Amino acid sequence: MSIFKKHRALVIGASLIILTNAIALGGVAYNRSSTPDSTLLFSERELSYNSYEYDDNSGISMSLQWKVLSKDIISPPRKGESYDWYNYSREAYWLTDAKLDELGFDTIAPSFIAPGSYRFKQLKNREVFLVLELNGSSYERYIEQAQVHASKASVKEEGLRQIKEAQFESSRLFVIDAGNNAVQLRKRYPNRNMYTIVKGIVDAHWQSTDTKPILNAYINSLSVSKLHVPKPHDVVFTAPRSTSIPAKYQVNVAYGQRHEPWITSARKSQ
Amino acid sequence: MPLTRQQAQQHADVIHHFEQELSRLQKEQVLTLSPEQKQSVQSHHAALLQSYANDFDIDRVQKSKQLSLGMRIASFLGAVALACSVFFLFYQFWGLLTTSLQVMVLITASLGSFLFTMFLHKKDPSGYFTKLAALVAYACFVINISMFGQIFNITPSDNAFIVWGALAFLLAYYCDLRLLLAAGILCVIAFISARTGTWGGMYWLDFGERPENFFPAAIVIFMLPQWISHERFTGFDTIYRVFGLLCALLPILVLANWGQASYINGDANMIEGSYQLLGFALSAVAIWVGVRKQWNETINTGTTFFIIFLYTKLYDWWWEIMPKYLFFFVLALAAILALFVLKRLRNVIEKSYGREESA
Repeated sequence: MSIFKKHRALVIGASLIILTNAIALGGVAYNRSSTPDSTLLFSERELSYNSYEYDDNSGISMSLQWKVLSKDIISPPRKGESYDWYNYSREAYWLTDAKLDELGFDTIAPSFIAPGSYRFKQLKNREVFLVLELNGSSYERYIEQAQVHASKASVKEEGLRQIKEAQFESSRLFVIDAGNNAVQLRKRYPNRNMYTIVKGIVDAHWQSTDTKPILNAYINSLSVSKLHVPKPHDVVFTAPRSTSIPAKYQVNVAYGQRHEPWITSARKSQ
Repeated sequence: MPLTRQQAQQHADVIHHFEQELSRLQKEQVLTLSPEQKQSVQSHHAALLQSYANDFDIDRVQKSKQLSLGMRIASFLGAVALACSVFFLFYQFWGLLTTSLQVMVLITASLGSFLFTMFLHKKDPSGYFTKLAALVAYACFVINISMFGQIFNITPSDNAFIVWGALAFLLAYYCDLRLLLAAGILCVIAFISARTGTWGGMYWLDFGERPENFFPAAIVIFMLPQWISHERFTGFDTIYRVFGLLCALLPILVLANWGQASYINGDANMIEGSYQLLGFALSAVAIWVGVRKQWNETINTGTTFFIIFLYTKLYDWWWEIMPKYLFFFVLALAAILALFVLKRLRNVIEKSYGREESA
């Protein structure tokens, strides 16, 4: 005799499927209820679209491109190092020990991390709330620093290229702050068309050097960095275009009560 | 009356072996049955085998048993291929649908395939087609939830493992499918490990970066058949024990070679040494428990990991300093030593079995 009578297993299984879908859709409805927490207008610089990914996939998704003002970027140029190289660094200058302490990281060096010998200890990464700023003061500073670094570049053309890339090509979306309380962050950054609050991961590790242990921290990733493009907005990205000319577009993205994004409109731009 | 197909098949195999042994005993004139006794036994066995064939579609002869193995392999491969096909089918066409249609298709596929599986289970005593349908139903549900995450840009959550695991367990126990039991166990391991990591303050998706997160799950999975009887489900308790052991021994193996991944704040070499010792100890305990309880899979898993720990230790000690021929010769000697130990263990078991029989 089966442990479940046929009707019982049927009811349990069907209820499980229906209830799970109801909870998932209910969460989506709640996120999109009321006024969005923020609405940002992204361009192709902040939301990239890669057509080669979609051979067997008819759906379209876009990836958020974001940056941080790293310690390397805001520091004076160092000989032999390129500004492009600094762009890879996610070690935000504002991720100080005090900020890490506020986020819940253990900022006391473990005893075995001693100067003079190589020791490394990865701390537990944490999901926190991150503040993203679009086309604000961080982006302006990024361009200024690109000009400073370009003035010291060994090859002039390389310097000019870096300035052009910073002004016209790179993302204008910067992670500028982090915290555990979204409400407090919103009070600090009230402009809902320039600042959005999302969930993201912060990583940190201890490393010994010749003189003292240091705590390195960086913004690892955003919890949601890919956005699905629903109908009818996908027509902007599927219409034929010349492959030699990069597509230019503007996409309105709203962030809801659960800080999850969705695309509200999309259009091509000149 | 046996409850499952496996039990019916096992009884049918015992009947065949009995007939073969009886024939040998009669030839050697050790035992002689009267014609009435022979007829009575044969009639009884024939009726039993016929009822098993009608109710469970068992294999009554060796050749059909061999074919059944092939059918099981074909059923498994077909199920996996069909599940992949469903997945890629949806990916191929979902972009052409509006959001409402996408949601409807996903829920309908999930619910419809589940209902079909329930219906098919009653009509398919052999279980081959039910296994196909159950795997597809499970794949549809996994796709259902994960695609919702993509369509609506939902923040990833470990709660998905709970619902996926729940459906896998339901299908496994209702349809007697060990493959789906394994899928359910993996989901439970992932959920418990992710939650352990979250309670420890880390981001849940990175639970694999701290192998100790798997230890609570290992205990729960290994002990579950001790707390809940699985007599009516052939092979289920074996799967629980194997996964429980793997869930403990694999992380220990990782930590024995990568101490930096431990939660413990200490020198990496000390941590690695401690976990190496723990690995040896736990493998030996697994072998001992397996022998006591006659759990073959526990003995085999414990033995395998004991050898792995031993070989990695020998590698650490001697790979750099020994000539290669000598190193591999030492490994071979270690394997021979293990053979002697296991042979001795086997003799002890045989002797204790002999004492139980005579008692």
